Amino acid sequence: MTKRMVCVVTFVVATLMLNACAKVPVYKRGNLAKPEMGWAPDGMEAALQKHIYFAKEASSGGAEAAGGGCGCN
Amino acid sequence: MSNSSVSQLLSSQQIMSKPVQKAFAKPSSNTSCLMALSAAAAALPAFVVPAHASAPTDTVMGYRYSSYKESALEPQEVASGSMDRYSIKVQQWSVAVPIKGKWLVALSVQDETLSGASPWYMKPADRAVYVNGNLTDQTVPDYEIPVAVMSGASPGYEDGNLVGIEEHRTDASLASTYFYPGGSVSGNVAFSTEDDYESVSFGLSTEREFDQKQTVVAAGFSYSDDDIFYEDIGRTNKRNTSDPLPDDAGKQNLSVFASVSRIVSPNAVLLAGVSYAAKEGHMSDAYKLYDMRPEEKDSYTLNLAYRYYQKAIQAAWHLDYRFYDDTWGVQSNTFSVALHKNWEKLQVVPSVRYYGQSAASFYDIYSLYRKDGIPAEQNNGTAYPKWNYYSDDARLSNYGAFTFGMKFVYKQKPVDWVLGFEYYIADEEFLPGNSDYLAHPGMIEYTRVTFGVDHRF
Repeated sequence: MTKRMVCVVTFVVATLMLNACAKVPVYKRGNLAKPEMGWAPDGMEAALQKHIYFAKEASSGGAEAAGGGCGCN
Repeated sequence: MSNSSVSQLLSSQQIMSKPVQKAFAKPSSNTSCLMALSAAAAALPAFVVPAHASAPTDTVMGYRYSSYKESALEPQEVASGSMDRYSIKVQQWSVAVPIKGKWLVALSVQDETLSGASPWYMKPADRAVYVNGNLTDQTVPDYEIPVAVMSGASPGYEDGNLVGIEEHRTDASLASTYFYPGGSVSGNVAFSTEDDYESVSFGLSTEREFDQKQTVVAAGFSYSDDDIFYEDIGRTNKRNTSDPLPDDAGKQNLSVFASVSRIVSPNAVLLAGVSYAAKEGHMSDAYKLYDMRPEEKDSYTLNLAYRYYQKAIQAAWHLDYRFYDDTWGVQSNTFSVALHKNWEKLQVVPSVRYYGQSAASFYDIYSLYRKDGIPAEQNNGTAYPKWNYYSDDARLSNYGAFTFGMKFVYKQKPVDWVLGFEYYIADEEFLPGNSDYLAHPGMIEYTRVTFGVDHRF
């Protein structure tokens, strides 16, 4: 079930990326440049959440390198 | 991509956390540190780490104070010890300084204090025995009702009982990013120290723009070396007699990742990334009695992120997904949605996150029977074969968790005031198809409050 879901999601994303061949001119990228469009607009909040979830859940890591630490608590 | 969306995908602070630090800690001179870093970098395959594609222009200083307390267990869930759990306070400081439009240097410090009790081990509840309708003083184990033997709640008090846990952790990270036309390169070193734990890490990452900045490819790696030591090792080894700490306890963590992001429309950007991490060392929980974990773990993730600006409501949608798989048998799916809505000076960010995981292959809520095994005739007809690895840690069980968040940011230039709330609840029944799973009393529930301020100049 999980693997099927991953395959479906990956396919959808790949399709979206392939379909996005059309150029978006720089002058039309104003909305993309807004701070709230950042991947993690609040870096301190993101760092805290990452630390909390690292300590409370079995999964960690992702689009960044994994950190160390005990994670016992 | 010249905007900040991709550049913020991974801040340099996140890229290299504790793993890298340890590689720096061992060498005795600066030269050997650099040699270790270079050797590690050369040995690794390329992978992606989004960083800043263009240098920021503002210096930003930030502070956050967060406090949360885990909900207490119910009396019927506790065999002995305290029902209270951890109370945690975290302070964060950060400063990021651009230099001559080509460099960004960032320092972040996090200080955390934690105190309270936690499940030491699990056992079946005692069920009273009736004979001819009369209550006897005999009991038998009721395997349908697991109860927790908790540590004490008061740190430092040891009167024949297991005392509570108290920790103080300080983490510092220094990151530097160099920007050049069409890309950037980042490096980071970090150090983390607790009463019983030290971690040093370093990391490197790079980002490159293509197709008139419509596509960004990034890659990076990090390495950490952690040392585990206890000033009062006798107390700690009393907590985990199954896998007591060796004198040179520690672990190493190497991780690599790559990602590609692309502008898919004037209002949307999409990112896909993969990562791999290898851990090796002492990973059993020192605060649990029956906890023996493998000394190696490899994990893999697939990450997807989507940002969409909805002009009609002048708000940004954040959609994120992560698939995680590791060699301990844990698989998980994480979904999160957030809306960043602006009203003049006020920004409101409601969010929801779902996390669901499968159990580790060596998880058993009755690990007390797995350490040595117990035949059926000695255990009221229920046999538990001996396992090489075992753990009754709730975090390694089948469960799901929801997080509901609400954050308010009031922008009073040059200062942003931040107030955030977060409610987290984990439960076996939140995982689809898991309703018959034996519930672990140690599931976490907490409410976090965060106050903060950012100053730009």
